[in-house]
Amino acid sequence: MTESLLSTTNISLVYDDGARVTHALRDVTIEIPNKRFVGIMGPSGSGKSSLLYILSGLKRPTGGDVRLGDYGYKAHSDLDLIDLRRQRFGFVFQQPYLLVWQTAMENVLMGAPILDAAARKKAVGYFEQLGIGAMAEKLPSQLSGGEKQRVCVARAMMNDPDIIFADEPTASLDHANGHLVVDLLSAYRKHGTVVVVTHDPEMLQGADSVLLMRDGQSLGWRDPVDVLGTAGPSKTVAL
Amino acid sequence: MPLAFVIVLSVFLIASVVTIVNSIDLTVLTIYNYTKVFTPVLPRLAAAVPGEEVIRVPANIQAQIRKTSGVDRTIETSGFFFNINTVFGPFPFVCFGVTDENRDYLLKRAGDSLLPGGRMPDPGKPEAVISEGLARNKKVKIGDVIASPLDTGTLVAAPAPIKLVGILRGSTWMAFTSKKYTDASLPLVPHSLLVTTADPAAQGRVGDQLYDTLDKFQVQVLSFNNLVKTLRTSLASMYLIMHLVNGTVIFVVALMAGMLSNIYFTQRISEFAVLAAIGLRRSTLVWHAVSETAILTTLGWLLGVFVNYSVLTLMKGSVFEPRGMLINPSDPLSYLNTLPIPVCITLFAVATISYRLANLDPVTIIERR
Ligand SMILES: Nc1ncnc2c1ncn2[C@@H]1O[C@H](COP(=O)(O)OP(=O)(O)O)[C@@H](O)[C@H]1O
Ligand SMILES: [Mg+2]
Repeated sequence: MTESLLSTTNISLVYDDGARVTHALRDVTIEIPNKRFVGIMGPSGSGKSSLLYILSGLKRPTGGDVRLGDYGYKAHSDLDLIDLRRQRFGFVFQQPYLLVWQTAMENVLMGAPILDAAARKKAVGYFEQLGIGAMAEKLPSQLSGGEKQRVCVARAMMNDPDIIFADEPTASLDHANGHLVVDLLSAYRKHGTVVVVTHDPEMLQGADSVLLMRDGQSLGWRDPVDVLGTAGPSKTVAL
Repeated sequence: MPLAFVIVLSVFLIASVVTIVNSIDLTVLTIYNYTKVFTPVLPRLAAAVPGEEVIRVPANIQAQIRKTSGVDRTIETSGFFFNINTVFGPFPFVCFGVTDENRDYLLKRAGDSLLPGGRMPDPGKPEAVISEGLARNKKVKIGDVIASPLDTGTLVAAPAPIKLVGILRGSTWMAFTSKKYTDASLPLVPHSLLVTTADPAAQGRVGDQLYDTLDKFQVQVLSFNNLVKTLRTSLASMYLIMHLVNGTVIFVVALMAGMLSNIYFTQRISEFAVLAAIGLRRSTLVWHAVSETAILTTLGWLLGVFVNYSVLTLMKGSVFEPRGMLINPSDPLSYLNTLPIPVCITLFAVATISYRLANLDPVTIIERR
């Protein structure tokens, strides 16, 4: 692996809801390289989302710390982490959540650090690039699921993030749209790192490397061709 | 949407209540509007002179009035009353008996003219002219009897059935018969003075001056400004009650709107959670939620104002005026009273949504599938 952008040291996450104690993450130490498209894969409940939330500062680990360059999360307040997310990260979630009263364009502009002419120009560029140029002035209710998710991808790119975090971005989409969205995300590795969580190995065909997770533990980085053998159900459906 | 509906209804409710309450004020001021054209000076019983049949304004006071600067004419008159319809039931309205020359002078001052089809009362005959507003109020036309000796509740009933011979065009409510008729048929009724100023614009000031300077034990001065003052004082407790009721309505509506905006927020919490997740500050999110609420409440308010205006305008001629209720659907005061509704609702929404956002954990919402 080349120079690392984001690193964790001995991350653990314990959920204790009184009735039950769940070890969602145990002692995870990983490094995520700069300007790469990487995947996090593993069965349901293996801690993929938990890891992503901690990497992106949405959740605090029970133990261990995360560093982005020389920025240690533990030393910063929740408000600092909000600013960090807005300034340096982009997010795509499983459900394409958009403000229903605002047009696709207005939703995308939510991701812009400053609302100026340059931001608008950039947003228009993304709409063209993502193949939704005609949808800019439509409301989310007038868009299909795949179109909405592409709007979310555009929103995630508006602040030129160092890292885009995507948690199961294709799970609510059909096969073709899923591939389209992943292709769009993977193209971003020219500008920054893309971390995609999925349980569908097919989506990670083009990844630079894939982190395998099981029972809250990291099994280490793999080459995508090695994990493709563990094909998920979507491959059979597609062929 | 239910929020907008609540706002429209409450704006309509409050604005119409205020308009209707204000109708009392408006009615009284309309009835006494003629005191803007001339200032009646009425002798009291204390002004009676032993041996004289008629009570008049005492000579020394008459002299005092004539010496008052700005005074033009002091017109001697007497008259009878006829009933008009008001919010508070039948109310006596005065019909002055004046000479033809003085009558035309007063009508000119008020800017009134005779509507086609009518004529002025013949001197000495039981006839009268009244303003179009009065004619509408009483629902009478030329040829009808407008006053009768059998009228109850008036101070001085008409000496004989009085026939309407003409209708006056003009906004001031006035009624006139001939002085020859009142002098002949009402010999015992006290004789008042109608005081006018050379400059019509000075009538209010001179009226106040007469009210302040003339001996109150001898005469009663009906000055417009003083009537307004007395009226407002006597209506004060009613206005207080109205404001209490309005305040309660606004509070309840704002409370309900707060609950509705809470529901609305819950429905859309995933949107806000995602925005919080991508790093928008809480203040930005509150601003988004609140500006949406503010737009909605403003639209609701505008619609409420529009609904109130249209409904009252429609009902004005068909429901209110026949019952003697004068209303002004475009009274800015009644709409001013409804302004706290959108303001309170927006404040309530800010409070509830800020609270909810402060306690929002985006991850738990995003994970909820
Ligand atoms: N809020 C929570 N409270 C308690 N347990 C949780 C919570 N969120 C996740 N878990 C548990 O933590 C483990 C890891 O979950 P998650 O990171 O969502 O896995 P994945 O994304 O790989 O499916 C699971 O066993 C899950 O049940
Ligand atoms: Mg997950």
